[in-house]
Amino acid sequence: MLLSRVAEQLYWGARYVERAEGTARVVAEHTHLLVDLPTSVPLTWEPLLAVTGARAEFDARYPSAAERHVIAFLLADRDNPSSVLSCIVAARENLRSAREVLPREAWQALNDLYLYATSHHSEAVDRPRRGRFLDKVVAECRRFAGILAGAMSRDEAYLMMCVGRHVERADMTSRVLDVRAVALLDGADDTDGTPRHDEVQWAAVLRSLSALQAYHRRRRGPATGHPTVAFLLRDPDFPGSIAHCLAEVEALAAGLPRAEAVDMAARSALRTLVAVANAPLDRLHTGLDHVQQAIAAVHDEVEATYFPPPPEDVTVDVRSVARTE
Amino acid sequence: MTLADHRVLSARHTAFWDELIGPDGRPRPAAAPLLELLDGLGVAELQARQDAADLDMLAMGVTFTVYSDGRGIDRAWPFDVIPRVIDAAEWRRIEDGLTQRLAALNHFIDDVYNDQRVVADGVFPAELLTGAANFRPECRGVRPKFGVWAHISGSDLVRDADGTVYVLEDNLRVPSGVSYLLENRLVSKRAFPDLFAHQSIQPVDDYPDQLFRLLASLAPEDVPDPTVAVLTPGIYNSAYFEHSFLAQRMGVALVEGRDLFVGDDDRLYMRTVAGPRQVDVVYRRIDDLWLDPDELDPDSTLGVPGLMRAWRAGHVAIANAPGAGVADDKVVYAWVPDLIRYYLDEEPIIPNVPTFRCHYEAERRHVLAHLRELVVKPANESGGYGLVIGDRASEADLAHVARAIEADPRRWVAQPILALSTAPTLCDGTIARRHLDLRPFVLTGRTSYVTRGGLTRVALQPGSLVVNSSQGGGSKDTWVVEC
Repeated sequence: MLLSRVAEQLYWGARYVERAEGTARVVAEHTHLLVDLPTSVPLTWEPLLAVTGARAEFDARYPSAAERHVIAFLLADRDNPSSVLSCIVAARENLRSAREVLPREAWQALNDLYLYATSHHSEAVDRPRRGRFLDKVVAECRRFAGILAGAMSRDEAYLMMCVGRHVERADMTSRVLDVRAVALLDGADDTDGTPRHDEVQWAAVLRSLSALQAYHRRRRGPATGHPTVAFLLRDPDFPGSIAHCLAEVEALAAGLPRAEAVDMAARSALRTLVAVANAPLDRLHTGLDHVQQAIAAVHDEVEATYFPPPPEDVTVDVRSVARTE
Repeated sequence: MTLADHRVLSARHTAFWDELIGPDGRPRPAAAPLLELLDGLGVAELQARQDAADLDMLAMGVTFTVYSDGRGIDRAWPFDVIPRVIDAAEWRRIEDGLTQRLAALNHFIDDVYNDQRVVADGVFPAELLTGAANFRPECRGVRPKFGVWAHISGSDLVRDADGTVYVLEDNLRVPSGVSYLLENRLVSKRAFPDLFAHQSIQPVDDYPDQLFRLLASLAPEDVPDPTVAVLTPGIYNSAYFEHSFLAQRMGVALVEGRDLFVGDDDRLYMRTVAGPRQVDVVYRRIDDLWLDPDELDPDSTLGVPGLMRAWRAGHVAIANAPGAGVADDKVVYAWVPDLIRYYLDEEPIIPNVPTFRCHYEAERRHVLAHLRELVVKPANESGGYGLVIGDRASEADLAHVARAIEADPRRWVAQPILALSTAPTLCDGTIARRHLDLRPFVLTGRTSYVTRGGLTRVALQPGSLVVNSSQGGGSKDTWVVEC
């Protein structure tokens, strides 16, 4: 038996932990890339803002997309709901009142992460200490997931957290692809003679999704455009590929009650994915829009099926509506 | 200071009864093995065990919330490592006394919501009933199972200088503290494993099982495998730790009002991922007033619209029953000995503290003339709020409370200042005597159960009589020992 309210808290708790980890990885990788590439390659921090989808919010509050502003915004800004710090705070808030269904150690791990992030986030702004902060965040998120995997019964509560994690991961992969891959592919045509170190950049795309090693094992050889995109979209075995995440959601739904709509949404998203992966790369951007909509549809079905109705959900009096019209 | 010094100190200060040490400075028999061990340990080792116990409390996340300046702060539960010891023979008498008291109180509640024989027979004044803040007219005519309304209660016991144990007050609404009783035992076992191995200290761990059995027994007759839920006001309530603890230990759902709804069939449901699931028994940890915005406080967001309707229809049991608080009024308290005689035809086993009811003019005049010698209490507050201790209050406080009494006499009662008993307590690296009380918990259904011992609350400030954790009190494990 799982309460709808608790289901929602578990789902979002897991999503926020995953989002904190994902954002930390993307920032860490971009920092590495900046160090690796020669200064002749123009590399800005703006793609990171695009990945988190918070560009407008950033522009409203920061003077420029300089490194320290972008980093402060993405890692430590409590007013940015998708900053790493905000995600950790939100994960803890959600899971706080679902504590009785979590293993005690899992709550402690999350609490440790919370205490660390709230007291150390200012260190992350300086490049030399940023790496350690991000590594620690990623490791603690992994520890949390590991405790769940090792200590939690495979009941509705566990399944709900896994659904949240996979929906979030699929979403993150699609955003990284949309921003980074589309930019790289766009640039492929205009050759002004400057080497753009494409392999380095494609490898960085993979690394920011911790996919590089898995890619090499699967493909052999350097990372290039089409194979990388195909790998991240539809590799069946890599846990960060969108296809894998959606297949997981489909499998998890089999263990949940009343899961028909969620299951259908996940299948439909998988079909969209296959179509996008088979389409020419110049249509990738439009295709990824469809993929993102399909992932959002999975979320919507989870919400409609399992979560409590919003508090202001009062029955509308049809007659009074008719009168005013 | 060593424990031996403490004995000398105790012998000289005979104004208070000490729970562990007799007036001759020698250990009371039930406490002898403990004191022998403590003397052998010395204060430094004892402090080390105290520190370990404090760490255990933190690591186990045993916290309570203190409200100050409108902000809630989670604090580690304050615990004194030196236990309070009670002789099992004395405890059996207390157990009988509490069972008797709760039987009479439940008869009283059932009576006032139904026939009101107690009023018709002239035992309890009619005007007090109609004016009682916790009397709920919505409950008239309801007959809960077994005739029991106050299923879970916590009565506060104190011991005066001559050793007499009194009931200081009854908490029949949503008494809290039982989770701390259980956690205290866990920590205390780690601090004194040797004594637990060699002494017959009665266990307390079965409380959640007993509670579950009681709750399940309250389900409507036709339900074979009842669904039980603990209803909490939510994470910001000071007792949330306990709500979560009990739900976990009983293996039942911890729900908030928004998780529940009452269907057109007058049945209570919780929203689960598998769809609505009927709830048969609610162990509610929210006050009466918040239970149902349709019938009680319309602004309540903590309760469930229609809950009272479902309860009256007999489709759901609520523990404690709405309206049970009518009998934990400090004015009703003064009548409990009479109620025991009236309903049970027995003499009270545990006496009441003599109580002056400001409602009556003669008693009110006595109270106003003797404020310095009395503890004045508001009749309907809990947690020690609003309490004025005459010999410690300022002139301004006394004048203020005198005005409050004259303005609304029914709201106030007064009792003589008791010389609360003490026990040796570790305070800042030395052992000192601190005042304490005891809150045992009583479960009442078809049968009764009394916790073995209870939650001992101790005032950590020298000389203080205020033991409430919300006001800086601590706690001790309580051992009922066969000797």
